[in-house]
Amino acid sequence: MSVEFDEMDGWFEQIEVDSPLHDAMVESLNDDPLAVSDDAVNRVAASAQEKLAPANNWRWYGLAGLVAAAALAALIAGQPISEVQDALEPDGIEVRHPAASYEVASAEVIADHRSEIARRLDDGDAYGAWQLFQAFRSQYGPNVDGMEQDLRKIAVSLHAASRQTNDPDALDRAGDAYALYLQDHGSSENAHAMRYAYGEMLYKAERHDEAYDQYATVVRDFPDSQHAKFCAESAIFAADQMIARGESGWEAKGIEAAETWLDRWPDDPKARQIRYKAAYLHYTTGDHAAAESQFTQVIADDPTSPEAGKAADLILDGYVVREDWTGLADSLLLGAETYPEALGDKREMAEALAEKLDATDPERAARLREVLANQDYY
Amino acid sequence: MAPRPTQTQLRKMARIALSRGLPEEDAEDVVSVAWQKAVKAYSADRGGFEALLARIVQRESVEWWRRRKRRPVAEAAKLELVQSPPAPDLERVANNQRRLFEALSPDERRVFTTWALQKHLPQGTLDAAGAAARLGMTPAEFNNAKRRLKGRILSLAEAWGLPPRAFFSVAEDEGPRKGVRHVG
Repeated sequence: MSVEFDEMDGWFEQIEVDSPLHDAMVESLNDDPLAVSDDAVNRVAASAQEKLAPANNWRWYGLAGLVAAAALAALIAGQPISEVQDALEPDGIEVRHPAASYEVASAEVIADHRSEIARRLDDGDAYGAWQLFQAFRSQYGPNVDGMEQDLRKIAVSLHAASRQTNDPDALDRAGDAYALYLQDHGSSENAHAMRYAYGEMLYKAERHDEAYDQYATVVRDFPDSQHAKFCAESAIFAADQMIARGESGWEAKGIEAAETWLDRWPDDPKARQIRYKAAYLHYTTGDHAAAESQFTQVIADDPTSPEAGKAADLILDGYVVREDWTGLADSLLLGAETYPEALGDKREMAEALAEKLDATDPERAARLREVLANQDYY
Repeated sequence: MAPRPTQTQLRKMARIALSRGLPEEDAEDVVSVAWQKAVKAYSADRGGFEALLARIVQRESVEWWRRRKRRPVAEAAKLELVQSPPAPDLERVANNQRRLFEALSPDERRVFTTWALQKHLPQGTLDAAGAAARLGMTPAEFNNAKRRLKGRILSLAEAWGLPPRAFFSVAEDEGPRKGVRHVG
């Protein structure tokens, strides 16, 4: 019996649940999961968070109950009740004043808790300290005395512990602790150091997009901190990793990171290599004008460097890609004038170009031939 | 107050659900249900919470596939069949599929499964290039592999005295291409 390919193709759309073919399909997804984009992951995570959040908010129905709760919250927080009332929804359904969500911890409770955290950390039980911290926080809130220091120690300890195992969960726990620290204490004097450490952890976990965000934030918000320069360079590497994975839009971020670095440290010994990288990214995204500008600077910085040779080639290549033969000729002529000895390996290109320009631009063709004739290649 | 998932946990769960082929809308539901189940089920003597969470999301994703109903014959157009076809004998189809899998080589089974996945996942989830890449092939190589597999299926069907559609849940004469009148 003959069956057309398209007909059999259509049969594959009709697969019964619990059939062996359906089971094989589901099993193949478990053995070899599909690749998914970070955008889709973020969308689903955000929507799921919305679905989970409402169940955790306190709800009072009826304005009287709301006012009473708001007054209590104001007393606890020591804030004017008017500020609390401002937080009420217009329809008076939900109170969101943060102080209304937590209990008040006595000095004794705080001391006992901190002592237990310290004991667990000393015993090398960073995970146990982390679990205890989270339980305390969910009951008493993030602003109890000493919590900034404890959370900082826990995050760093979890990070250190993750380096000693190959357990991916250990790295994730450290990431959670860092994220929580930055959420609760993002303005603290230690925030820049924690962001740097978090960026390093994310890079190690190959979450390069998130690592980039942390590094870029350190550079932007803490430009004079001890880690700013390292983070500026690391942002470039993180963007490189995302480009290598084929994630779209990262060339622009790589350029931004490189040019941020160059703005801050233009005379640093690494500047030439970073400039070459920025130029190369401009080149790959088709911005040949910007690429040429940066490549030209790379050559000027050190004409004998390996980057200079590659930069010269890529400038010329940009003209070839655009089929800008006039521009190519001018670039070769300028190069011959400025760096006469460098024209040697471009001879064949120059000869082919002169031939191409004979009909349309004989003057340039003649100048090219003159330059070639005057070169000493031996 | 019930604990809330962190961003890392949410992303991890979302990635598991999406990578199992769930559409985004359903993945959101699976993630929120999985979190609630994990929080309820967790106890310290059962190992790490993260591992429990991952297991539950994977299980819920598999359950999602099991709860799906058979897709209708035609979704886009309203169709009236000239004559209602007999429903396929699903148990017989299942037996035929098992027999076919046993006869195919491992490579042929992978092509078969990937072909099914490509057609069965929501549109846009797995394009031709992505399907081919799962097998380490180019799209052209994957197309050729499917054509060869089609030939193999037809030969096996003939050798066993079966119509080729016996391996699929397709009723005789079912499908928009044969004997159907469009209405509306």
